[in-house]
Amino acid sequence: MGIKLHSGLPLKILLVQTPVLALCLSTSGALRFIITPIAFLCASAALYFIFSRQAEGLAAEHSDALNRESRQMEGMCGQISGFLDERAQLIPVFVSQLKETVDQTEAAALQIGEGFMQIVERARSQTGKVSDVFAQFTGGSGNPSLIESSKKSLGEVTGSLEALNGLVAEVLSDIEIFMKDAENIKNITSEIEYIADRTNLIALNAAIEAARAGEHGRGFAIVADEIKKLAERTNESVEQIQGIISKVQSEVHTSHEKAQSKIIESGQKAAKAEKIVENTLRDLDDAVQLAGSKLDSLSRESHSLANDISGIIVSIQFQDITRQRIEHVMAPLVTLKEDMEGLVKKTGAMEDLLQHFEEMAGADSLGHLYTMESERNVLARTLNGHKPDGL
Amino acid sequence: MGKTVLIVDDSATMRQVVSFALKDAGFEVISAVDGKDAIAKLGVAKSDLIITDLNMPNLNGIELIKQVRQTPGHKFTPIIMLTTESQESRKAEGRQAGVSGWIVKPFTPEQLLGVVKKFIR
Repeated sequence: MGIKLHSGLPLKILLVQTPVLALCLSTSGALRFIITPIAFLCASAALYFIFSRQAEGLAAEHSDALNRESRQMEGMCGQISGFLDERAQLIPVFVSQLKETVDQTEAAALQIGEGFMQIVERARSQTGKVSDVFAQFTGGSGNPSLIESSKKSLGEVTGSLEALNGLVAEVLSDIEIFMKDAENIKNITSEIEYIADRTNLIALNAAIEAARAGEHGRGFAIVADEIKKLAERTNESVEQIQGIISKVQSEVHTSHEKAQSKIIESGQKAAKAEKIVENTLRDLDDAVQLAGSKLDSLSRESHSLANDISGIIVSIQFQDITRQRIEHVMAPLVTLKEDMEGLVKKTGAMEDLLQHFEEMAGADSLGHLYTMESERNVLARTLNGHKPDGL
Repeated sequence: MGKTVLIVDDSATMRQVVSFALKDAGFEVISAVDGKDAIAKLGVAKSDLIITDLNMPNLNGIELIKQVRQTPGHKFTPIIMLTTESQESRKAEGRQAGVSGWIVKPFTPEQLLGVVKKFIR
């Protein structure tokens, strides 16, 4: 926008001033005193006329330019106002969308967290159960292990078998002593038998000698007969004893042989059982070693799970951090909406102001600006539709 | 019986993860959704330590600490601020109100327990 200076103005001033100056300079004496004021009055009148026309043109040009600019501004204000108003109405939609996203993300994060924590709990429970079962086998917390108990029990069983074999061996040894004693008794009974035979012989000799003595030997013959009877009875008893001893010896011998056979068999079985027990315990030890190794692996997995827990706990927190960052965007958005609405109001007010200016301000301000009556007249004429020359 | 921790946070996710980390370490946990709720919970339940967020509706972390310090029996209860904010000016504000520890999110369970176990076991 701008009001251009009339291009012919300096030429017009020159055209007016030059003849006046020439006229004044060409005259002399009293005539110069008369002509000069008249010439300057005429020149002033001519200049007034020129300036008045020029002012009229400028006023008209100024007013039209202002009106055009004002209308353009009004249009622009309306466009800006409409655009701002339209965009401001979208901001609550953006905010609602963001809020909805935050809510949905939070719900999803909670579900993920809940699911993850259940998985962790189950994994730990499983590990705990396996550890408990393993501890029952291998011992721990001061309790004897099942394996140790089994080893001990099996050891006791094999120990008992060995003890039993030892006991049986002792009994066999006693039996052997008894058999020797029986043999000794048998030998003693042979001696008694010999004594009885000798006694019988002596009794017979005594009876012969008694018969030879006649009447005097009658009493002695009775004694000799009694001795003979005793010797015979002794022999009978010795035979009985020997019979019994032989029988006992036979029975004991049979039992001894059986027992000896059994003890050999039992020893073989005990050795076999001991071997089986030893192998079983070794297998059991191997199985426990393997289970221990697996449990160690499980413990390492459990430890790794603890690290995963740490990572996931950190990750889940980013939902809250993101929520706060989105809230930090939402709050300025709400402020921006308020600012835009304020701008819409201000643009509306500016529009009104421009309209008012268009209607009033041009004429009024020029009316206040122009201090001379002639200027006001030009303004009034121009506003009333009188176009100046050259426009 | 284990020690009890009161968790105050308007984020359900944060309440969940803090609760998990603490329960995993053997602590009892109670939760409050904001400062006002926390004051109400303090009146009815035992709390050996409080972990609170800073920015919350109704009553923020700083105001909560000020009110807790006025609550009978909680003048010296340890209070840990768990927040995304790390500016020194905010920490100074917390210290003035009576905060005992300050953890910046995101935290690892080890960091959280490290600070908690300075006060309770």
